[in-house]
Amino acid sequence: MNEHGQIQNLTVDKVYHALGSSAAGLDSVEAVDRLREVGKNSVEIHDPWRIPRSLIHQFTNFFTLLLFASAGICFVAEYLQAGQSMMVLGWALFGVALLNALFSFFQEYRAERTMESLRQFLPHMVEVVRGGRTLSLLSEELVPGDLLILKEGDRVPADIRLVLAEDLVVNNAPLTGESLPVSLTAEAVDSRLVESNNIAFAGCQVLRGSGQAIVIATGLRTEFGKLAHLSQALRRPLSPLERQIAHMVRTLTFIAVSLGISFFLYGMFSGRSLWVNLVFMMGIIVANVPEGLLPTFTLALAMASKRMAHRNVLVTSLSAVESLGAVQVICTDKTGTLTHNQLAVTRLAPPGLDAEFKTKKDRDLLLGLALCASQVRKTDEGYSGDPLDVAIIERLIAEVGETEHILTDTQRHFPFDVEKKRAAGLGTVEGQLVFAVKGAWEAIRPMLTGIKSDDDITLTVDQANLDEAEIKMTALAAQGFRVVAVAYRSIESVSDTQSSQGQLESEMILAGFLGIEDPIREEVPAALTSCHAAGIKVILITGDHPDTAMSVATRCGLVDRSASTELVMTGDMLEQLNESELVEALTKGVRIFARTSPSQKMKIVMAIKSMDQVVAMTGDGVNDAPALKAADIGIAMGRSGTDVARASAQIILIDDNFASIVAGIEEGRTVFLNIRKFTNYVLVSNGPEILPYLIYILLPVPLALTVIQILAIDLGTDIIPSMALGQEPPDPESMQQPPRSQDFRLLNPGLVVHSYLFLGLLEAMWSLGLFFYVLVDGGWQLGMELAVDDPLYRSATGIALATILLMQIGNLVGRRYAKSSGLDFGLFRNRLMLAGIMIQVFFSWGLLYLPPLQKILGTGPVNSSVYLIAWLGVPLIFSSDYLRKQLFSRNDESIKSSIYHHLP
Amino acid sequence: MIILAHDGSIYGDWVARYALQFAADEADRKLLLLNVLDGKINPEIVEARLDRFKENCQEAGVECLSHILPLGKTVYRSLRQAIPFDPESLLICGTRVKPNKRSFLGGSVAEQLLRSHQCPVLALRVVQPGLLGTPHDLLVPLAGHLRGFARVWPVFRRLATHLNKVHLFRALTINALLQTHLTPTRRQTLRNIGRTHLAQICAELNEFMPLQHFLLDQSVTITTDWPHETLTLASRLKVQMILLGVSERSLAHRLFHGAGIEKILREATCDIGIYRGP
Repeated sequence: MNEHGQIQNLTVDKVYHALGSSAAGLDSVEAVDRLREVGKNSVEIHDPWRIPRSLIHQFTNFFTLLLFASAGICFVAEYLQAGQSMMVLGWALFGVALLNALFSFFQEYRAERTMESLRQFLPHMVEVVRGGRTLSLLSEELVPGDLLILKEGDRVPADIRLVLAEDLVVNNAPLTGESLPVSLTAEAVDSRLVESNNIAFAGCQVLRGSGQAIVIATGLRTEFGKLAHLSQALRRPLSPLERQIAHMVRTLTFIAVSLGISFFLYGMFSGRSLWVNLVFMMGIIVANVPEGLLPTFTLALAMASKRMAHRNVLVTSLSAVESLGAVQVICTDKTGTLTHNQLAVTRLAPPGLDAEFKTKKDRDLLLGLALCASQVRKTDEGYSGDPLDVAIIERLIAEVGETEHILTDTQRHFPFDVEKKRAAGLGTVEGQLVFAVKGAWEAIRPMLTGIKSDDDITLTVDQANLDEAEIKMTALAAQGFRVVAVAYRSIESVSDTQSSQGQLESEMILAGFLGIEDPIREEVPAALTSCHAAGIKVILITGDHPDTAMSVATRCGLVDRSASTELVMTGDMLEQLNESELVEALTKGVRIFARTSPSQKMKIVMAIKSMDQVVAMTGDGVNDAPALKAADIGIAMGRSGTDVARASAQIILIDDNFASIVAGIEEGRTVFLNIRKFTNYVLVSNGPEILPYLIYILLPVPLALTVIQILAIDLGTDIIPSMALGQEPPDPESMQQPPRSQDFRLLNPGLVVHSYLFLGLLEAMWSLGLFFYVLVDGGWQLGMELAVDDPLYRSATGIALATILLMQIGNLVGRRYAKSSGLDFGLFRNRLMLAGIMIQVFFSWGLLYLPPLQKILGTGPVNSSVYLIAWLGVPLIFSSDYLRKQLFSRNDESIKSSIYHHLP
Repeated sequence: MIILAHDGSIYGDWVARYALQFAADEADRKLLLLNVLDGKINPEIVEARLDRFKENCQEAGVECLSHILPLGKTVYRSLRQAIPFDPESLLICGTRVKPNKRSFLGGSVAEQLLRSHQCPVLALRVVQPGLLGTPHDLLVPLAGHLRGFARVWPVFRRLATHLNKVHLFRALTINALLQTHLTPTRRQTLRNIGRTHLAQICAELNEFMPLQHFLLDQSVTITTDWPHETLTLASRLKVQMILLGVSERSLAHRLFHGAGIEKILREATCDIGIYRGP
């Protein structure tokens, strides 16, 4: 054995020596010393500042700061013009900012929940030997070198090297995802640490036996600790929408503040008073910042998440709603996601070259023998036991009906043994006492002396008929079946019934093969077709055999039937690739990863992310948690998922169904398109809000809109219509387009030009035209100053505001579709849109003619004919926009193609 | 020759495992054991530990020259006088948490030894004594210095004997404010800069070591927090050691870079080796 190797390579006496321990364990003083050196055996990252830091971060991000600044502006406005409900608006904004920050904080705080779930895998108390005495100790106090006592049912508290093992069997599922038990030894082995069977890992459970072990790593240094470290430390990258919003908010704020300061300085140099300039600067900033847009984003995402819940997609993080729509690659599991995770015996094959059994009797015999080697119980809910055994009895019931006698006639059971790869039973089948074995072909083959032929004759085993059986088995495996061989022997003497399994397993006759499969979910092929049409790559990652993976992928339409095996990569091959080689393989078209371990999921995710692709990853196990957190979208299984996986994911599939992911993607894409629609809608009203201030500072004219009036639009009348656009149903074409390019910006030059320089300018000119019409009609002349409470000024500013509100109706309808007018496709189906239009109409009228609104907004009445002219703004803006759509429909195509791009 | 600065503690024993492994692979199979009698640990315990270590050396066929040094003005000064100026030797020392402090390297003897650099120095933080000084999977974060692999080579070649996998890592640090404005094209450009640098390092490594028995992997990340990226990558790859360079370029660099190294030393889930970079 390698004397210069690691702890697994050493013999037991050397293990003690290497870690400064002995069969009497560490002495207490030494243990305290070591504890001081390596710290507690805890998988939690000790960071007392994590929560305060996270809280501060949430309150200091640009989004929240902007909302707080907007609230501040409202309070200042209240101070300038008291009694105009600005205080209420200010508090509302303050509340939204607070809620946003706290909401984000609690989302980050979810890492704690992951930790709670992980903690369940470690014991609280352990038994150790210290100074020759056995002590019960807090698990946290374990140190490297401690001698630990293990017994059945214990959870392993740290990574340990066994020094004594008596029939010790552990379940490594939390770490490897493999639920089959593993037998451990204390002997030295010549393998890698993580693959050694003399090492037990923290978080795993002792299923059987007892033993003693030396602790080799504690806390975060254990393999389980590394998993816990990733679950806590991995930060989810900003979602595409978060990046877009951050970019937009910063750009708009930069423009607003720059314009505000520039014109403040211009005002100062042109001789206006400081107070006037300050009011002006604040106004131009308020006019430029779409204060209502940010809460509307949150509302739109919240409403979309509710819709997603109806489609079995539970969203635990709002940003994930849109991220799902931006997904370019989905890495999916097979079992339970593409398939039902319900095993079914769908093929019964004779040992020879014939494809099927010729008689029903032969089929029934094969199933009867298989059931004899199975162990199932009848419960109120049906049969329970190993899924394979349940599948066998269900098929037998389908074939022969009553099977109770078989269950009762089975005298002895030999449960499935991982190392032997088979299970067995002794009982009566078809009226004869038999010993039956079922299991892997390679486990059954050596014990065969006969092969049952179709004519009820038993052929003596020779190389030729064994090869025939092998060909049959391989052919079934290649078709994607999990193949179980069934063999039997007749028991002639009663004394034989008490023999050991080893003695019974001789002179066996091969009865045939069971082809077992996990049926594909009915919705999956259509969902995958939809993914292909939507330009989304789907990658299958499974622990199954490559042939099984390929078969499932072909049957559900993930790859073409003509696809070559080059699309498949095994875990061993993956292990040998570095990241750039993996990227190359993915670019060349590898779509199936078979025989992979859960830890390799992370490698695949990171490679895809390095390709700048938005990736969604499904997972259910404890060890899937890091990959779920590292992916842009972590999707956990609601039914079969562990608490740890669910706590790490942003999305939970209630029905574990792949088709639900695709439904979620459609919803996510719709959300982004709708967000774009209402961003465009909201920015249009910025035009007529900014222009009056520019004219006011450049020309001797009154200010057409006050700060309060701007806030009334941004935080009042525009909110419901924006939400209405956020509620628009999915565009039928949304899943016919490839995912949008990551280069695409929500706030791009096209949107700015359309919002500010086309529709915004149109609204500004029409509203300012009426503003000046009322002023001139009332006797105002250029250069004449008007007091803010002058009835003429109030009327003029009132009609300017009313015109903007009315024109926003035309803008609202036009925003529904990129090409068509917006009046088509059920305008009245969206009730929020109707409510939005009603609000605009009511306020445009009320602010002119209702005294309470006049008082709040500083407006006054105008002649009804003028109000009617303001209404003409609705068809004006609508038809102008429609004309643009018709004239520049080619440009619309180019806009669309700039949103989406085809993947390489 | 391998020079080991052993403080007489159990931690010193864990560090000594590395020294022993390295010495066993040296051409001269010599190890110089230095211990300063600073009185912090009972001298009898220290003696017993050192004797046991000498036995280990004997078993491994390594000649152990032991120097027990009286405490001079400081432990560092006592050590410095005993360390030969030899670019072919490698000095190994441990760096451990100081009582009531959160720093590991800052102000330690190991930091002083790294700074004086009388010969190549490897300061170790050992948290997995079960590895017995033979890490198989190594993470090497690189900061993009022009001098490339030369500084890490004296340490790397000694570790290479047992390595299965080496992961070269380049974290390109950007400002947090800039992060959201970074276009995919710019991100790709930055990544290419990192990849080019790592490709140069790989080429250099191939020159130093034409026959590699380990798998060489590399990755580039754009980040606002390189220590965090290093730590998560170490956990993700389940590496058994991080080999990290420290620099002496400027006070500001030491302040910011030093804080990152302390964070890695504090939170790493594997052993850490620190060498002095360019």
